[in-house]
Amino acid sequence: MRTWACLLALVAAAAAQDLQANLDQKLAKPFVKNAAWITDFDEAKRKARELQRPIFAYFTRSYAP
Amino acid sequence: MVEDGVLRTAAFNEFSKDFVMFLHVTTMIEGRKDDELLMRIGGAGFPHLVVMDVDGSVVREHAAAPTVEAFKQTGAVGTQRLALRKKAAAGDRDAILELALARATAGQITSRKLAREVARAGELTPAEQQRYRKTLTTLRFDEAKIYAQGAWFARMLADGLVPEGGERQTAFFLDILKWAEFQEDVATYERALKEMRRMHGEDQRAAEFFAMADSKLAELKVDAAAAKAR
Repeated sequence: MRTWACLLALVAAAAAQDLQANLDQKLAKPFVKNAAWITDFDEAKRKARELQRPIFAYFTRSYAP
Repeated sequence: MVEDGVLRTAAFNEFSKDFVMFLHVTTMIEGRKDDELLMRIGGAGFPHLVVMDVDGSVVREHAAAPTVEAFKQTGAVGTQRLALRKKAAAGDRDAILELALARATAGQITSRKLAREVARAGELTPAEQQRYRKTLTTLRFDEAKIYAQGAWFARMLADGLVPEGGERQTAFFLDILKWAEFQEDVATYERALKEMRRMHGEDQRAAEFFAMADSKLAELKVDAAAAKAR
């Protein structure tokens, strides 16, 4: 039983690592360097208030192609 | 795909300088901040492009082709909204009215808030009155559908009738939270939130939900204090 629990934990950890790697790959794409993208929503809102500019938001995903 | 196309162009880079550019990546990483933001703003499917106000509320979804020219048209709506917001903040009654109607049409404010904002604009012309009533009718119709269950559950709670079972209780108190927020009923909101915390307070996956709910509660308390002072 304990072995199964350990295996499941390992599988979950590996999956989490994969998801993080997918995100890193997405953020390394050339389009990200073509604009001053902010990836934190609160920071984007703070900046918008400070600069008095609207937010242009692009939603994408990294968990699938 | 836009990432290998329009988003890499010099024209897009030029366009981006008039905006705060926000890139959101849905990752499915458990517990990651704002990972479900797309769902929260009512988006479905990728890619999803929107222009937002400074408070993060969606002003316009980009539904046209993904070209810089089309982005400029969508972006212009955001710029207009910002100008309206500034005028309204400065006390311009036409802007106050327009902003309130625009936000109500987009479902960003409740009918109660709409009524308060419209009252700030002072006396309405017959044409304005007609627009207001039309917007109010649509909003009240939608609200009736959204909050009916919460209103029912809130009455049950007031009568001391709470369903048994985790799933039922979660649904019960979630709907009460929505209803109490709409009603601006601080006491009921606080009570339902306390019950939700009792059930799910230890669950890390719910941390963001509780952070948002706490912030909403604080907002409701500020509004209630302001209403009392009026």
